[in-house]
Amino acid sequence: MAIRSFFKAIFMLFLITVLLPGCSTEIDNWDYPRSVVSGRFVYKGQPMQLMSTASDATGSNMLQLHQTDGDWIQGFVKVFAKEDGTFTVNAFDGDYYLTLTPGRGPWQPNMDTVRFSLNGEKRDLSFEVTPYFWISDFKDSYADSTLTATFKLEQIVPTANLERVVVELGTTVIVDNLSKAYEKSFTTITAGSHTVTLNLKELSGVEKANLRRTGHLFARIGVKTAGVSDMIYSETVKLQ
Amino acid sequence: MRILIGFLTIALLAGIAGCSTDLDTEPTNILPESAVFTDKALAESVLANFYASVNYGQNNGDYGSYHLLDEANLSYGPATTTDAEKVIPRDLFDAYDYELVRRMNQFLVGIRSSAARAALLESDRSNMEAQCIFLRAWYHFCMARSYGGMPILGDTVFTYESGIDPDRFQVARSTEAGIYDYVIAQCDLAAVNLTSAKTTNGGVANKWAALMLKARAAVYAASIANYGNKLTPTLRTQNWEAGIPADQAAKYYQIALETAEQVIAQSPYALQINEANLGDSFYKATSVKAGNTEVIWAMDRLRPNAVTQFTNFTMPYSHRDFTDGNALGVVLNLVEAFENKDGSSPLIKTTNADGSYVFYNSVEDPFTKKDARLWGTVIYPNAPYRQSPVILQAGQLNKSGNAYVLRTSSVGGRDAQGNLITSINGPVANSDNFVNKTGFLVRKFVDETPNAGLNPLFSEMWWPRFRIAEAYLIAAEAAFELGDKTKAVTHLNATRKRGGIQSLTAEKVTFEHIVNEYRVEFAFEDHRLWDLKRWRLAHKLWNGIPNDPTAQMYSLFPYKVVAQGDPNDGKWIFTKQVSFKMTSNPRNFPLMSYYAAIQPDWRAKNPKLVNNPLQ
Repeated sequence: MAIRSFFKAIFMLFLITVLLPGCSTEIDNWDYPRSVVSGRFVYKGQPMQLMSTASDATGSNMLQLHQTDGDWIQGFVKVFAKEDGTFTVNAFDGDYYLTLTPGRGPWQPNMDTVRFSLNGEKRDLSFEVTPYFWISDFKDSYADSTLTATFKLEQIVPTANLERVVVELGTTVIVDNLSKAYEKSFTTITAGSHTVTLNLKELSGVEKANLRRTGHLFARIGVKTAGVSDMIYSETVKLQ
Repeated sequence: MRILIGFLTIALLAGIAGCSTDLDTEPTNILPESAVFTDKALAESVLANFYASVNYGQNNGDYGSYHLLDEANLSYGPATTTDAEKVIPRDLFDAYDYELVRRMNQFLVGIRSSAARAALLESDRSNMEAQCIFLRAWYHFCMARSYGGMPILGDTVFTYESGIDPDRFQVARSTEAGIYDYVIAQCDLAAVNLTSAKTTNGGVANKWAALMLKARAAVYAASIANYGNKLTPTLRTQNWEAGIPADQAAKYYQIALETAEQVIAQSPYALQINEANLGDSFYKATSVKAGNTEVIWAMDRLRPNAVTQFTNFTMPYSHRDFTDGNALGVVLNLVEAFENKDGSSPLIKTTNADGSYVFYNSVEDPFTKKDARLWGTVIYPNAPYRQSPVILQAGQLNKSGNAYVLRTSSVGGRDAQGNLITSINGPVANSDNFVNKTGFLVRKFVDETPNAGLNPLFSEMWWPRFRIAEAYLIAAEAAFELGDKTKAVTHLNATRKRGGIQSLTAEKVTFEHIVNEYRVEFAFEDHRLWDLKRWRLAHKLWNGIPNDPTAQMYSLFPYKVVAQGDPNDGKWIFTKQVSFKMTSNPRNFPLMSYYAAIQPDWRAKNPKLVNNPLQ
């Protein structure tokens, strides 16, 4: 009896191994989407610098991509921007619109939508926003462990209140409010041209150790508006 | 292919032929409903499952759940920067379990059936029904504190049958005030039939647990109405699924005050205060079941099936029962929140104005003058655990010429004269395991029982959810907000008295006193996050700015002066630095974290759900 059921089990196993590969069909094995949507955030046609950390858990996607086909709520694709304000996402062909994620971004909230049909690719979309503050003419120099940065700070939205200007240092090219190894705040800065300096020799031992992790050092200026969680940034520069 | 299918069919038929064909046997592993609700023990076992299903939030079954707030940091391994460490997640400790609600509603149908009424003693039956109603209210409360208003299904058991319009299943969100109203009403309903006597170790909910939940729900709703509109007016939805209109605050404060005072006046519970040893009596009030007069409702643990490894992981490594220890370090921020008995600044001075060290005669000096509840909450350097002192020493302060120099060693290291340099417990600022990184260990919920850290039985430490002390603080807060400061200080001084700190007067009391009293009284008891959320203080205190005194977590390292001939020889100094594990993560609570996100797939199934603010 035992021997017979043993052979039966072997036979079943054999049948399963032979049959299983035949069960797979094309229907439940979709290819990933290959059509491309890309664009960038602009203010009056000028590109803007944003946070570079893309984190699903903290919801740092600045945009939501909604598909308009179908009459049920399908949710949306989270669209993350890179530090230079560009975004790229792969999707299936169809009709879409883009909206801002409420509460994200260093700009005035708006309900604008950018509508388009996707067929293969849709590039160079511009998402126009009005930032609270604007950084221009950013220049930096780094000598003798001292970073000197000059920039022009412009207030775009008259009702906005400036909370602080920060110098963020990081050990990778991804430098922002969330991914940083060191931050120095300046709370007395107002609109206008400024020069800020940061002498790395004055940092504490722990802070210096944190900055030595990769052997590379990157820096960025950020501007925080009171009551707004995300900052607007300068370009990221490598200190060397 | 066709031949293979033929073979398979034959094989299957052959297999079936060998089996027993009797399919009408009564299943031996499933009990029919008719049997469950006519037997007290079986009905209670269903209820026990509900009790085990509602452990939401921070708790002492998981020492890691303390890491993200401003009470304690983990100690094992290198400093990390996970997403959750960078930004306190909006779904932290959320509760969303409508399957549980359905099971509870099924239970209510069963326990209300005529068969149950005929078979069970009416007092038992109505008590079990009331316990289920209470647990359902507790679940709704735990959901509301993360999500705001959510669908309220009442007693309906939704069952799908072919052909039913799914529209019936799609219930819209209630308002945030509406869900707190529901919790309050359900607590009133449950309180009528729950026992008013104490239950064993607070493990079974009684009338006072229901009234405490009612008071807590009311004070949450009141403070959201009050501070939500003052501090975060944009955090609401169009139809108040999130946010409560400001004019409702007074109503809820009134309910909270009346209910809390009812519990204080009528319940059999009392604050545990032993004037002879205030610190120890506070520890016993939270962490010792025998003779406890304070805990109203708790998740009780009993060996061998329900135990916690909290003691194994967090006890001093020098005192270890098993393989772990020192896994959780209390941050200096919490220690400094405990006031000094003489009313002086609670901040611990480490350096003088000129930058020189402040010397203390004993390592305990900065702590013994604090609120005695510090002893019952935290193990500070040289404080005893299981009757023997816990040595926390970062190193020595030596003299080199005229200058003082700090000296550390590997853990347990000694100098040529045999004096200890760095203790086996630390504190240290490196990535080693089993050593403390903040200068303080946890005492609350760490078991004094011998071998409570030993595998496999571990600790029977309970998890108190409601203590009578909370009734005093709810009454104090509600009275304060309603303008009755005399009453507020009477209740506030009741709990301040157990720490031996100075009484407050009606002229001096401020909102900050109430905020701080909750913090020190209920440290590690799953209050801090929810309290800061309802007061709308979380984004202000946890602002994500490096070196901000409330956002950055700090540690305090003690060094012993070993310098022969120096007047300070044998004294102690302290250094204050950022907490090692959270070095690059000042606590960061963005506005969006006040309300958890409604998930897109919930909305796909139920389009009536509206999104929360900032999502």
